[in-house]
Amino acid sequence: MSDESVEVRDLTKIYTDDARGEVRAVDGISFTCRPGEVFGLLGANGAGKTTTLRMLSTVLSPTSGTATVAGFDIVAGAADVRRSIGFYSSSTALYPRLTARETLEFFARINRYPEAKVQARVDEIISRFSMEPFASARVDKLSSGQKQKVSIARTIAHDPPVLVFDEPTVALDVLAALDMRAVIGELRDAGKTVLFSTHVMSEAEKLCDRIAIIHEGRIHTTGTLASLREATGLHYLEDIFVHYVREARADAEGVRA
Amino acid sequence: MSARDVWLWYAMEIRSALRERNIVINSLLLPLLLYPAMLWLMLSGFTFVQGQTEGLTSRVILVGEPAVRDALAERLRSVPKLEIVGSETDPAAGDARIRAGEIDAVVIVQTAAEIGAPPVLVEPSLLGSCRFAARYDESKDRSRLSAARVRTAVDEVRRDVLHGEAAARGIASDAWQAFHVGAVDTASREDIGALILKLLVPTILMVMVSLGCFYPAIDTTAGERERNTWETALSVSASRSSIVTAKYLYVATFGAAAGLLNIVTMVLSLGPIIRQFTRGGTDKAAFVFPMSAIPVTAVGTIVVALFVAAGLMILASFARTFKEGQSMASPFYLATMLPIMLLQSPDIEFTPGLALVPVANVAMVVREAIAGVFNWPLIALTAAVEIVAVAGCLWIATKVLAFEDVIVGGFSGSFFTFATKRLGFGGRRSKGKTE
Repeated sequence: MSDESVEVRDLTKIYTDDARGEVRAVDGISFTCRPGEVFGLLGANGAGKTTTLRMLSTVLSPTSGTATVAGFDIVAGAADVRRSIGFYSSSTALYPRLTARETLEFFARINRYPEAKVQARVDEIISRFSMEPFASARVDKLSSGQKQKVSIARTIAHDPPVLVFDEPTVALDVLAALDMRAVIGELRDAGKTVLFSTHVMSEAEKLCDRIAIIHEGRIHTTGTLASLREATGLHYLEDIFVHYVREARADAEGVRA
Repeated sequence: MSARDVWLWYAMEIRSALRERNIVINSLLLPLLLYPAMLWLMLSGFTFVQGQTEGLTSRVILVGEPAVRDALAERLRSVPKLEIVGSETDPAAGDARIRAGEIDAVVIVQTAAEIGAPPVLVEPSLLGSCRFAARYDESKDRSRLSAARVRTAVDEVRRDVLHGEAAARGIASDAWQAFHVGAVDTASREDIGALILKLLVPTILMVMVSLGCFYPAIDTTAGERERNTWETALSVSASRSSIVTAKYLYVATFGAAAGLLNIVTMVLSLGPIIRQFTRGGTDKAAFVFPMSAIPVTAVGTIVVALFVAAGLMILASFARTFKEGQSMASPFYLATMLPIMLLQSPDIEFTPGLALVPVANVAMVVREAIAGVFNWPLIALTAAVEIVAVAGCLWIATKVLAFEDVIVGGFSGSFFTFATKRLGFGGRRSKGKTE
């Protein structure tokens, strides 16, 4: 068995759209992530980041290719994969009529955290995220910052080994984004694999142990920030990103010519 | 599918729903309070209007020969709340005045000479050989009531003439009035109550089951999309079939609960409300829901709830917002009501043809059960039809769930677009199945 907690091989997603025909949202991507690593998918809007993460969280099924998460195949072992991940995106809102505590209890139980330990786990998370003042309040009565805390807390309620965060700091204010980054750092320190997507260069620079640059459904390079700098001779991640995107465009035009 | 996951999700949906004002009002409070409140309001209104109308004085004019007109006017003057306000020579002028609301009725008097009838009375009197006709406007309460008062008054005149004539011919009143037609009501208070219950309960039960399912069905499908919680649901370890089953059971539970709560509240409230408006004296009906009808009614309610829940959820699952869900699910909601509307006649019979119509067939089974009739072959046919209807809905649901873009909300269009494009109904089929 591999040491990698996430292994992706030639993963492809093709949508069949009545108006546009075949759309290759993700085109044969491969990468791996290790425990205790923050792996960033860096790309512009529409690059294929969200589709990739949705496939890894089994919300979408791949058209071809394979991937394993925590040792489970995303197609054959979809339920095991979902139990092994905490998935967060702008489309994974909370149930508004549950309280913060009920939310954590529900997600711990539905993701099969041992029943005998649920209460202790929920108390621990409420304490960790300083949620005591609003733990008994309904989610729809919380401020956006409080909701954000509950959202992140519910992804780790069942203590999954892999966290999948799709653009986790989008729409957050500066302080909330800082909190989010702190949580990601803590999760890495706790030995979790954090796979997250972003188009914010500074965020990727600060957080990621390794970065994959994705453009038009393909990964054009993967490496640490240092290795990317060395390979391109550029210092800033923004310049490195633009370098690879231009290279990808040139390749595409060459193919078309 | 895991029973544990289904239970966890079901409990979460129920808990959430009980905290949603719209669902609690529409699925629980309305069934409990709407029909007793409506019945009370209706009877209050009816009693008020009736009281107002009965208190009015009827304005009547007479048309005919002056002598008989005056004789009739003399007789009618003693009738309470009846006022002779003039006379006319032309009946058409009287009709016009009724239409204008100036008067309420016209009494036309024709003498024997005018109609060419031979004299038959031994004891001739001015009014004895006349014919009377009341003209009125059926569309006006006041006019209708006036015509009834005139008929009663003229009938008194007729009776006096007959008594006088009988005396003149030497016939005792008892002798010529020996032929009586009477009627004896053999229905018990329970029978009368059952008649009212069997007309009201099945119809309202089905309406309430549909209403009870309506909001939860939209909330748990389109509402999930609108709140962005659908993807949250898809990313937990519970299987999609467990989640969908839990949602389905939750919607059906609210539908069945709405229906059954409504029966309880109606049975408990009908008697006291009706007694209040009949001043307690005419306690002719006892509203007792027969124990023998309870199992059939309960099972029928659950089966209809399962059918309606499935139909509403399938349609609403294509919506992206609650409003869109309402418009997509409404046609099915109304379709479940239509056959029930046809059952308002007390004489309609439960036939094999009617047993083939979902929802209406269960309404008929309940209706017969309240009257103590259990036609087992038709009940079996009804059960089979409902099971086929539920199975049909679940088959369509499995087809819908096979398309990933529908599940994740990427499909654009209603169920009818889906049926045409993806299932090939109507001869068109396109790709899009990605799972």
